[in-house]
Amino acid sequence: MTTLINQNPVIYETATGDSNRAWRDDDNDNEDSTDFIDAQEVFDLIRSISDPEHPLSLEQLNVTQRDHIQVSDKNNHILVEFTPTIPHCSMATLIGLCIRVRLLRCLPSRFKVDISVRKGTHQSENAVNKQLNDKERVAAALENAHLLEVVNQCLATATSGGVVANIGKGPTVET
Amino acid sequence: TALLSTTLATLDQSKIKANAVAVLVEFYCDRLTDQACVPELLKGLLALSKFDKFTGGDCVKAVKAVLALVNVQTYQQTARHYVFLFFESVINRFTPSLRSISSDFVFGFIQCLDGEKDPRNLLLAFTLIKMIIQEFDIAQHVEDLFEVTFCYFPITFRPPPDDPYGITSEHLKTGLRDCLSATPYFAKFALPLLLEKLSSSSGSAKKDSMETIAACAPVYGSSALTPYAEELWSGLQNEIFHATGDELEQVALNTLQVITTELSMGVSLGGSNDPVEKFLRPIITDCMTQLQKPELKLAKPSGKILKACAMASDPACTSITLATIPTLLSQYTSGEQSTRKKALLDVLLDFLDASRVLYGSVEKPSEHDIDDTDFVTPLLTFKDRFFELFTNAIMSSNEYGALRLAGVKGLHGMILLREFLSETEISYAIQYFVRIVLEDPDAELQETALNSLASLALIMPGVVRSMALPAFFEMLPTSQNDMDVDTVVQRRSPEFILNAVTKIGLEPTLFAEIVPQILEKVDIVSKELSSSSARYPINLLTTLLVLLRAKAEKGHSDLPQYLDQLAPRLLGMCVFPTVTVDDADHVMRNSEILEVVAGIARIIMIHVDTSAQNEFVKTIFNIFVVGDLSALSANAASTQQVPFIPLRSDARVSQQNASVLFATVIDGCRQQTTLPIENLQQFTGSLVEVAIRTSNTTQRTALSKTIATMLNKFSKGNVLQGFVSQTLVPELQSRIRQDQASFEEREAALTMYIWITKAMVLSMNAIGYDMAGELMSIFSVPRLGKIAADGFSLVIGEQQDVLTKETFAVIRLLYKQRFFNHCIPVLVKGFENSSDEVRHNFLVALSHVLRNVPKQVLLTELPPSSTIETFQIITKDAPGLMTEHLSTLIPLLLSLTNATDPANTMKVRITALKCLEAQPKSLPFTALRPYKTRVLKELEKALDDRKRLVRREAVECRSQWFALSGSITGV
Repeated sequence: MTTLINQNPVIYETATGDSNRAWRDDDNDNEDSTDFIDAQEVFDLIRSISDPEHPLSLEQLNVTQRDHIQVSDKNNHILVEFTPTIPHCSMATLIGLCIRVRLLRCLPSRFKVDISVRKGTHQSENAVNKQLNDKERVAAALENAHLLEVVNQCLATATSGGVVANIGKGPTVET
Repeated sequence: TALLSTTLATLDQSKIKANAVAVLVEFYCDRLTDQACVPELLKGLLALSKFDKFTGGDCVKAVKAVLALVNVQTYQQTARHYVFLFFESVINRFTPSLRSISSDFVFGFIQCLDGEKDPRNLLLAFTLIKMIIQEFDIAQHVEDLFEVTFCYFPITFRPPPDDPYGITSEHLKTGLRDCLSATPYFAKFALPLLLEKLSSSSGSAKKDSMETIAACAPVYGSSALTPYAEELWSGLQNEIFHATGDELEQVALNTLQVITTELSMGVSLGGSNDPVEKFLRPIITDCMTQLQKPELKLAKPSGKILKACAMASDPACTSITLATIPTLLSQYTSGEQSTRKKALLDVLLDFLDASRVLYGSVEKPSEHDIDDTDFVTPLLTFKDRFFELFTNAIMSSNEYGALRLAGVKGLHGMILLREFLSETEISYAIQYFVRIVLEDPDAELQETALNSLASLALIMPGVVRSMALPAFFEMLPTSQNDMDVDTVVQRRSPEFILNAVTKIGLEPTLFAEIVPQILEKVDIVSKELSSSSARYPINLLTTLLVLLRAKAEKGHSDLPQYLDQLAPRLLGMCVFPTVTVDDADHVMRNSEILEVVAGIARIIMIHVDTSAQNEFVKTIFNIFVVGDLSALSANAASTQQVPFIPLRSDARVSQQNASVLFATVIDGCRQQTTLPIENLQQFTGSLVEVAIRTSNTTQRTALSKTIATMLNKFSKGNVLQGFVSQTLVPELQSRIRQDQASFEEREAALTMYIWITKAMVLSMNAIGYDMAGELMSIFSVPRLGKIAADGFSLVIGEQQDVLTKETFAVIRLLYKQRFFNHCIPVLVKGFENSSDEVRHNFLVALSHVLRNVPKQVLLTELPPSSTIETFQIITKDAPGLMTEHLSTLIPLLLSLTNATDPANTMKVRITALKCLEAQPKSLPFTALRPYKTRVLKELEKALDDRKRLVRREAVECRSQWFALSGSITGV
């Protein structure tokens, strides 16, 4: 029997359904107008990723929040900060990796994406940050077939609209 | 100044008077002292130099001024470019005037060029150098000019990845090479340096050096080459013996050959001191040393070297031959190992090749005068020894096949030599080949011998006909007994021999010999065989068909004569067995045989002219419509006992089947050919009636085809068109819809209807599209619907044997496009609006259309988003169909996601992405696998689409393709 790192995570309310787009003024009738990529869009991409431990989405666990994402479409830069559920969470790197892979696959390659643990929420935050922003290490991690499979499982629930598809049976990680 | 220069460059020159030009030149030359303006001034001078009124005097003045006042290399590239352009312009126009200052000019030019680095300028400069060398006296400046040129050798230029000027290092190399090989004066400077470069380590430098040497050798002449002969050899030898690649080796060999040729020229001119001998002596010695151990690695290149040298000239060939062959021959005789012998034979083969190139082959005499009887290969002396050698090699019972193979090749090579072997010797050789083909167990050997025979058949058909063909035909069985298993084991199977015959029988006289032979065999065997054992006669006839096809492809002109010689005979063979009283079983009634015969008739038919066709069609109508068989060449055994009525529904089955022959002949008619019938409508009508009534599907199909071709080709007049649209089509429609009629009859009517639709669609006759629409409405009729849907494959698909371009059918350009545009929307709509069962029929029809439409149409006819949606539905409902089209569809869909094309609206892009997204969900991994990388790469662009909704779809789609993997996990 596997023991979970965090036995009883706090579950937060999520914004149900589609993300609130009301505050944006996309003009879907105009072919030529440009919709810039913003924090909400990036958030939509990652909120529905499942947690490696629990059958819950990152949004439900409050790991990711829209306000913790900074996007500059013009400068091709994105900063994503996430909050591990508990400070000693050994899954932090894995969660970060999932976010990294998701954004690699879903964003135009022109963006430079920085992913980091939110300041003061993890005991070894420097190590985690270093690992997540090192291209070589990320690539090496993804060459591990087992790890890649876990990542793919976490990403399987992710949808572009931000709606959590149906996290019925969550992936389990053997420790 | 800039303004003035530009004005001059664009100005209409007729407006400027001669004295104005002189003044301008004066002005420009004086101004050249002003450094800042020089680029602009040069531009102006360039423009002036192109004026008609610009005189030789002006030219000299301007050139002097430029040379004296402009320090070319201090300016930037564009300015320097103007200088060179200016020089080019004046050299082109004022060479004589410039000659007066020749020495100064050349010197000045050298200074201008010194230090130039820009490839664009260099390219120009190289052509200038060449012109200067040709036009001016450079004697005083040879060394300077050479130095300024040669410093660029070897060219190491590598163009930048997106070079807008398109200059490659190859351009520069040839430019430079042209300069170096422009004058023999360069010889004494160039050769030592080139030799030095030859020993460099860079492959491309070596190659360049060798190519340059080859280019220079003819210009420099033998006297210049002689002193370096030994060094040249040692350099090149290195390249060949230790070649790093085939290409380098080939270049080295070429160079060697050029040098030898050049040195030989010296022989005929000088005479006394023999440079070529001197050059060849070390070569021969070195090579012979290597050839002492012919099975070793270096023997092969040695052979090649000797070959290259021997190819170069007559004296070279003679001296090499005399020096080497005797040794080689004695080595061969004393040698024991067959590998060693084989290697020696390979060297001899090289000699034969060289000889052929130099002295001409049987089919194509060399450029040298044929009457020159002295000009024969030195190998002639050794002819008998060679012949013996190769023959022995073939006959050696040795296990080592390669040795025997070399023997076959050797004999072949000897036959090809001009005036080499005598008739008798050739026929001996051919006999050896035949024996190998017929008896030898080694497949490779057989094939080589057969190929030799095939190529010889084209050159000397007479010998092959008298020696090879009889031997082959003798081996063909003539009776059932011959084909019994135990005898067949020892001989080659008939298939094998017929295949050999096919290979050699293309040549007209040989073919003429083969035709009666085969017919005779067919005649003999057909007496015994029943229609169930038709394998052998089918093979015999197929041989004829294959040969005829090959001849048609090669455009042989002897095809038409077989319309009279072959066609009636074959038709007779097929028809007479059907008119005996007892209607007995006969091999010629086999349906496959009928098809082959039809194929033969067809291929001959389409290669004769209209008047011959008219005649033949008349005969055919006489036979098949009137039933008069007198035109068929009958032999004693075939007599007509019952009437021949193949085009009637109450004829015997065997006769009905023969209507296939009628159909092919009609199909082969040209559009200009007249059918010998008075009332085409009535005739067509009656055929339709028969086709519907008959229960024999072979006959029905044959008749349907006949009617379709007739309507397609001969319906130009309004009469027939009216007949089709007002009588024929409505009648068929009502017949199809007649519920109380038997299913067979309705099906027959439908089949006929489909064929006529095809004929009409091909000629883009408007009625064809209405008929297609009617076909779609039949989809909902039970049982018939499926036939109608399948009919689309016939309508739009290309048939092998009927209504083709070769058979002169009226096929309009773009008929497929039009049909596609017409049908797809209707089909899609029908698909969406119909119930499940009928839906399937629409889907089938859709798939037929999609399958047969050329890719370009799919790609150019930009489908509206509704069509893409259909694709999406099909992906889910009929994955099999989709899989077939992936290679077309995926690129198409990807191109539709491109946001830069304004035709791809947001909706189109989204639908295309949805369609792509559906694929990994429904289609098998193996089918999609090849596209995965490409799709993922292309989708990256869609991720950066300017519209958010599109991006979102792209993300979904890309995720699906990322998730695509061999093991389907539970997601």
